[in-house]
Amino acid sequence: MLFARLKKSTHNSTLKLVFLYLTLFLTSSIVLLCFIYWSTVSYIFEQLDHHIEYDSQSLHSLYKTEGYNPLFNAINERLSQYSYDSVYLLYDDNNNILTGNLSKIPDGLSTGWHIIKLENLTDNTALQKHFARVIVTPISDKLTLINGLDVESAHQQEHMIFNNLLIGIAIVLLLGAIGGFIISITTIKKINIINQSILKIREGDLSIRIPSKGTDDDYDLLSDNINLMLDQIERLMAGIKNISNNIAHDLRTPLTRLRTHLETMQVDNNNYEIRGITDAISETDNLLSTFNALLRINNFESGSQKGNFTTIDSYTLLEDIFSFYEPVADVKGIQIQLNSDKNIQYSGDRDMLFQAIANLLDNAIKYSPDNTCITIDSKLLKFDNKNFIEITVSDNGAGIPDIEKTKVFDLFYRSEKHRDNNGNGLGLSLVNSIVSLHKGKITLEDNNPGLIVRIRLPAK
Amino acid sequence: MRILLIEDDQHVADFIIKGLSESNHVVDHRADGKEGLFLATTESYDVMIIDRMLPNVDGLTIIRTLRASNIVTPVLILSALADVEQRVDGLKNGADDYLIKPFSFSELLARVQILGKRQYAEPHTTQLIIADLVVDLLAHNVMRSGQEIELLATEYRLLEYLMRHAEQVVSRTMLFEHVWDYNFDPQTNVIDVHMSRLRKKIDKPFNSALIHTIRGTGYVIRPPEKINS
Repeated sequence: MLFARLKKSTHNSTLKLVFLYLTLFLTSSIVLLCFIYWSTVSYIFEQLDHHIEYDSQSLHSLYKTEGYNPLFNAINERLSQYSYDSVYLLYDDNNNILTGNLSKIPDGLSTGWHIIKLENLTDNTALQKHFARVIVTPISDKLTLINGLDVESAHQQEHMIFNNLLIGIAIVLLLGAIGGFIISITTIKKINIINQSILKIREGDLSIRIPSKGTDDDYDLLSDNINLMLDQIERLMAGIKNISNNIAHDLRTPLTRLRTHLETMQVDNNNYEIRGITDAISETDNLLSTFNALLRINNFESGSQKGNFTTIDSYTLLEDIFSFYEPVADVKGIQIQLNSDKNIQYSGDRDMLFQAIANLLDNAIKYSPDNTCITIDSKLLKFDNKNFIEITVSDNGAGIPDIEKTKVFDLFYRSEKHRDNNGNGLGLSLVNSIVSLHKGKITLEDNNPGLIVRIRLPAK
Repeated sequence: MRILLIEDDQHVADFIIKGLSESNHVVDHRADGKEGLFLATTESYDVMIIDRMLPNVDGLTIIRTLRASNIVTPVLILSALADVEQRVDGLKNGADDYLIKPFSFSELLARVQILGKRQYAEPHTTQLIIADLVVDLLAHNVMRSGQEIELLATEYRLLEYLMRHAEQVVSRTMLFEHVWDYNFDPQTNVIDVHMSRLRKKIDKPFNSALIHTIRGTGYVIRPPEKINS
C-alpha cells in the first residue's frame, strides 16, 4: 500500500529530494572511486616500466664496462631465474638471435617501448599468448636488447581493483537507496497522519487535533501550528454560532416593537399615526445602527478594513474626545479629568480610535453615579525595548464583576444588570476589534469602586 | 434646482424623485451608467446624485470622467459601500459628498441643498449675519442685539457651521463631520447636548429663537420672521 502510494505520488517532494541526494551521492562516489582506480592502476604500470627500464640500463652498462660475455651470462642467469614472467632477447645486426627466450625476433620493433604478444617462446609455455611490456635498447652498433615483463599479473591486479570498486559502488547505492527509502517513508507517514487528521476535520469533526510526538522537530512544529489554527477556527465557529443566536434574539425585540407600532396604526384612529410612524422609524434606526455596528466590527476583524493609518498625537485625540463628551458628563455632574503626557505620537486610524475611546467614555458616563469623577490618562511606556502608549479610562461606577470581564467583549453580551438599558451590546466588541486592528491590547481592572479600562497600543 | 440622479434601483430612485420634486427640485433620472454619463456631460445641472455600482459605467468612473472634462458640478455619491476607505476613495475621485445607504430622505435633502448652495457661496466673507446675530469670523466673536456672547471653541464652530448654511437643514452627522472633523456616524445624542448648550447661550436670553430642531433630521438656523412663512 505504501509502495502504491509512493508510486502514485510522483509529485512527492520528499521522494524527489531523496532521489536527488542519491544521484548526487552516487555521482560523487563514482568520481572518487574512478580517481582511486585510475591513480592506482597508473602507479602499477609505472612501477612495471620503471623496473624494465632499470634492468635494461643495468645490462647496457654491464656491456659497456665489461664486454659481451658478462652481458651474455647475466641475461642467461636472469632467464634461468625469472623466465616465468620475464622476456629477454639479444640479437645482432644480421638478426641472429644470440640468447633469449624468444625463438623469433618480433617484426618491426623500433627502439623504445612496446607491447607485444608473446609467441614463439623457446622454453616456457606459461607465458604463451600473454602480453608483455618490452623496451628495445641498442646495446652497441651491432647488438640490440629486448627486455620486458609479462603484464598479465598487472592486468589481474587492475581487474581486482576494478571489481572491488564496483562492489563498493553497489554497496553505496544500496545503502543510499535504503536510507532514502526509509527517510521518505517516515516523512510520508508523518505527512499522512497530518493529512488524515485534516480529512476528518474537513468531514466536520472540529475537535480532532493532529497528534504530536513531542520530538520538537519540524513536523511537530507544523502539527502544533495547525492545532493552534484549529483552536482558533473552533473558537470562531463557536462564536459564530453564538452570534447567530444572539442576533436572532436581539433583533426580535425591536422587530416585534416595530410590528406593534405598525399594527396599532393599522387599526387605530388617525391621532396615533404620526407618533406611531416616528416610533417605527426610530425602531428601524435602532435596527440599522445595530447592523452597522455589527458590519463595522466584522470589517475590522476580518481585516477587510485595514484602516487609514496616520500619525496621531495622543493629547489632541483625547482632548477632542474629552471636549465632545464634557457637556454630557456635565449634565450628570460628572467631572472628567484628562491627564495626558503631551507630544506622544503613534500610528493609528484617527476615526477608529476616536470611536473606541469615545465608546469607553460613553460607557463610563452611562454607568457612573451622578457627581463622580472619570479620569482619562495616557502615557508612554517602555518594555522589551518597545514603546507603548497606554490609555486608561477609569470611573467610579458599578464596575464589572470578574466573571463577566472576559465576556463583555463578546458580541451582544449585556450584563444582566443593564439589560433594560438601551444599547446593543456591541460597544465593547467594537472597541476590542479596533484595538486588535491596531495590534494593541485591552484589559479591564477593578478601580474599587469602578472600572479601569486599559488600552496599550504600540507607539513609535 | 436642477438635479441629475443616476441610480439603477428603481425603488430608491422613485423615492428620491418623489421627495426632491416635493421640495420643488427638477430631477432627471437615468438607471444606466452610460446614459447617465452622457446626460451629465451634455446637460447642465446644479447637483448630481450618483450611485456607485451602476450598469455599464460605474459611478466613480462617471465622476472621474466629469472632472477630467472640467465639469465641476457638485456630486453626491449614494452608496451601500460604507467603509471609511471606500468613502475616502469616492471623495478622492472627485465627489463632493458621500451618503451611505440606507439613508433618511431628510439627510439626503439637507446634503443636496448644501451642495447646490456651495457653488454660489461668497468665498471670503468676514461676517455672518442672521437677524440680530453677528459672527465675526476674523475676531472670532459673537454678538446678539449688540451684546457679546462668550462661546467655547466647540460652540463657536457649531454656530459658524450653522450660520454658513443658514436656512438649510444640517444633520447631526454633518455637524459631527465638519465641526469635530471625524468621519463616521457617531450614533449618539451627544451632539444634541452640545446644541442645547449653544442654544442656551444664543437663544435663551433673547426673545426669539434662531436655532430650531428639525425632527428626525437635525438643526437649522434662520431669522425669526421666516418661521411662519
